[in-house]
Amino acid sequence: MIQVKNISKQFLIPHEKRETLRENFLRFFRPRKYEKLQALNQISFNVKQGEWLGIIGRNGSGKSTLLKLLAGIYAPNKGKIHISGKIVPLLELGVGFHPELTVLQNIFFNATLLGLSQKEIEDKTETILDFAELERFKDQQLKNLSSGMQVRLAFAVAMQANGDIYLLDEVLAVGDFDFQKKCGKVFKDLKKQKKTVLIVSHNLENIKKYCDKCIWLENGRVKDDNLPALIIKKYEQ
Amino acid sequence: MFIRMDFILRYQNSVLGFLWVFLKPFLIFLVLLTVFTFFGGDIQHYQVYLLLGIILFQFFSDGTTFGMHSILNKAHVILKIPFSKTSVILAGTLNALLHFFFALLIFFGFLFFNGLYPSFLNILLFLLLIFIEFLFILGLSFFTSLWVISFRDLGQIWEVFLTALFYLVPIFYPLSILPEHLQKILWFNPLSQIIVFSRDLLIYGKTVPSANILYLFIGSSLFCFLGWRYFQNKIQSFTEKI
Repeated sequence: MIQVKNISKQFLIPHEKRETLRENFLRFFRPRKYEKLQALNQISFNVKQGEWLGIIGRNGSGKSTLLKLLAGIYAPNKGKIHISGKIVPLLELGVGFHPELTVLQNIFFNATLLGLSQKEIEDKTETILDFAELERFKDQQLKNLSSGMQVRLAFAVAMQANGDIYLLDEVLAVGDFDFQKKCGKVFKDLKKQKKTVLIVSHNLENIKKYCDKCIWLENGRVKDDNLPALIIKKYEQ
Repeated sequence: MFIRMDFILRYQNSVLGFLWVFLKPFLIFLVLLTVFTFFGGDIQHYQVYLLLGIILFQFFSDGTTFGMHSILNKAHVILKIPFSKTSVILAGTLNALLHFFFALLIFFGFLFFNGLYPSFLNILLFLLLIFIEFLFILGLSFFTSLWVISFRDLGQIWEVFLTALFYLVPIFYPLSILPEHLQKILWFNPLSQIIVFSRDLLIYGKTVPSANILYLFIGSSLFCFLGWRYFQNKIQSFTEKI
């Protein structure tokens, strides 16, 4: 269950790059000018357990920032976020994947980041390899796998993360037809298990198909909050 | 977990692999031994004297460097998944500690080969000194890992600082060859104290006044704690600057 009350997030982006001591020293007496980027402005919404929320909007409208705030990576400047339940943020598939390590090692690392204990990972490794169809390659270095295989692996691990709330940030855009089918099946399972899912996507068909509610973000504000079919109609205009 | 990964990463493709962890301090030691033996003079057991100083210093050097860059190195992960950033700093320092332990094995080999067998109590005290150094490095890393985000050239400055530090710490010379007032200044550096005390404990079998060690322990614990609090406070705001 997620309750978001009036959150705002502002980023201060300096006009001048002052990343080193030398630069700071040289420009000490010149005042720093900042560009204020109001990424999110007074956003409020609620998501009940088991509901699926779609978040749509143009690039730069604040969708990813919103997910990052919910995930706990950034903190809001104003407003409050109430979340009950374990959050699994999937803002990028294969976070922490390293090409030089083997598939097994990467599974371990990625799953740990997603909050699984060592024992859980050991128990689930076989399922993960099965799902990703990579049993033969478990000792291969990740860099030897194709990008499609890596995506399958990342998704397989992500789906084993036992969470109540999943945050998906355009992670389904990649993948071939079989992969999309697998994703569909996984989504059906998640729905059956009454998991809460927030999806950021440009794939409006998927949003219509899976989401109960939808939010349309523009320039950091909620432009509309309604049923997917209705919003998407407006959005497409 | 990070430690394993760092470890594996660093020596994955190297032919010598695991062996480098042993070899690096040893090779440094050989070079320095050849060059600095003539500074030795009246110092008994100059070889182990030098080796101990080098590995203790290397621990500090590695620890602070890894610690400083640990957050930036893991930036891509930090920006995507929330997790305890403290573990990242800890992993860097523990990594250096691991290197240190391997080097320590070689040192003890040399020690016994020279017929020097420190007492059990002295070894325990030495372990405490290692822990003190560990806390000190950790504390520093809490500060530097955040500051380097704002000042990216801090890493290079630190490199230079470490080079200078090598000469400001009595590693290859005894403190006694310096004039009194300089001795007092250099003594402020906890690293100097740790190295001198370690040598006394392990090589010369002397006893070290426990008050000194206690001060070191309290000082480094406090420093580490302050660093940790600072880190907890500021990590959120610094995350946005990565």
